[in-house]
Amino acid sequence: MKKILVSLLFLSLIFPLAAQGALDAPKLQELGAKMIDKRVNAISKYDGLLVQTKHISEATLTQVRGELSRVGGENGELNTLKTKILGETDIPTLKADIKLIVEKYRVYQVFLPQSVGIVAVDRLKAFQQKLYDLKGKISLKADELEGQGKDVSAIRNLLSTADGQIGLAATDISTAEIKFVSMQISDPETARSLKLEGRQSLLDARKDFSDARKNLKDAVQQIKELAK
Amino acid sequence: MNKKYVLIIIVVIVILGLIVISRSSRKSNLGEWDNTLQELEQTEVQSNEAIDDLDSIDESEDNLSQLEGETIDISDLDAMLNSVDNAEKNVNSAISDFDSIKESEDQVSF
Repeated sequence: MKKILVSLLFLSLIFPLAAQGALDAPKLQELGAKMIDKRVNAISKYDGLLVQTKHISEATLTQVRGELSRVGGENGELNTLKTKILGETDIPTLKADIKLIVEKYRVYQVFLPQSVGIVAVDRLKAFQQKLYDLKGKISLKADELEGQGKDVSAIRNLLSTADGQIGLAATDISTAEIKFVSMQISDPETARSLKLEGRQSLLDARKDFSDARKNLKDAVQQIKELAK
Repeated sequence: MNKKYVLIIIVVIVILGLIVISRSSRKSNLGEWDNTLQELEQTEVQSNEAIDDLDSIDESEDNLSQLEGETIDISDLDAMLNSVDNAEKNVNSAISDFDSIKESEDQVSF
């Protein structure tokens, strides 16, 4: 029994020392630099996607990309912090700096979901535009067929249903965009809720658009049959 | 005697007058025929032109299937459907990207 107690006492002394040995200054510096590089690369990737968006307002892009640049740009705060970490040798200060990477910037909790969410909104808006274009084209074809005396009432019903679905999805897209733009690093908990709500709106919009696409596809099929 | 000569002269004048009138009448009739013939020729030409016009009308213009073929172009609808499909794939890709961001990356403990 005594032996066991002595062993436990020994182990309890050894483990914290071993753990402390694992977090010496060079390892903390390496950890901090890696964490920052990973974040800066991710920010750069999604900033590149934001640049390519076509349906997001200039004001929103300026706001979101401005924050990304401030934090993850070449001369941004994260790179400044990286320089500081690489020159730091005091372990408590290094630990505090590494915590700062997470707690001050919330790249994975706020910045990246916000950026990717806005990119997804842009893609959904592009989807919406294409659905509208197709709906308009089908409507013209239906008019032509009707002019030839064909019964296009079924096509018109499909177009009407698709129109309603596209309208619902458009509302969801607007909601999602507002949620994502409202995410702030100063309030990560609210940002998490906004992210989840925005995501749900994206999924709802995708479903409505997908249903609309199926209805338009059916309408095209009917046009083909009537035009034979 | 004088009366006899006068009578003969009158008869000759009358005969000559009749001859002149008859000739001019024939000439007049021939002119009318010429006009009639010309009119007929013109009518024939016009008829031929009308028949040519008639022949030039392409009945196939009123062919419904050809009309459909010209106005109901299905290929552009197919191209638009493909474009819509691609747009949906882009959306799916963006949402997958969104879901791939792990919040756990923003946790640190020492």
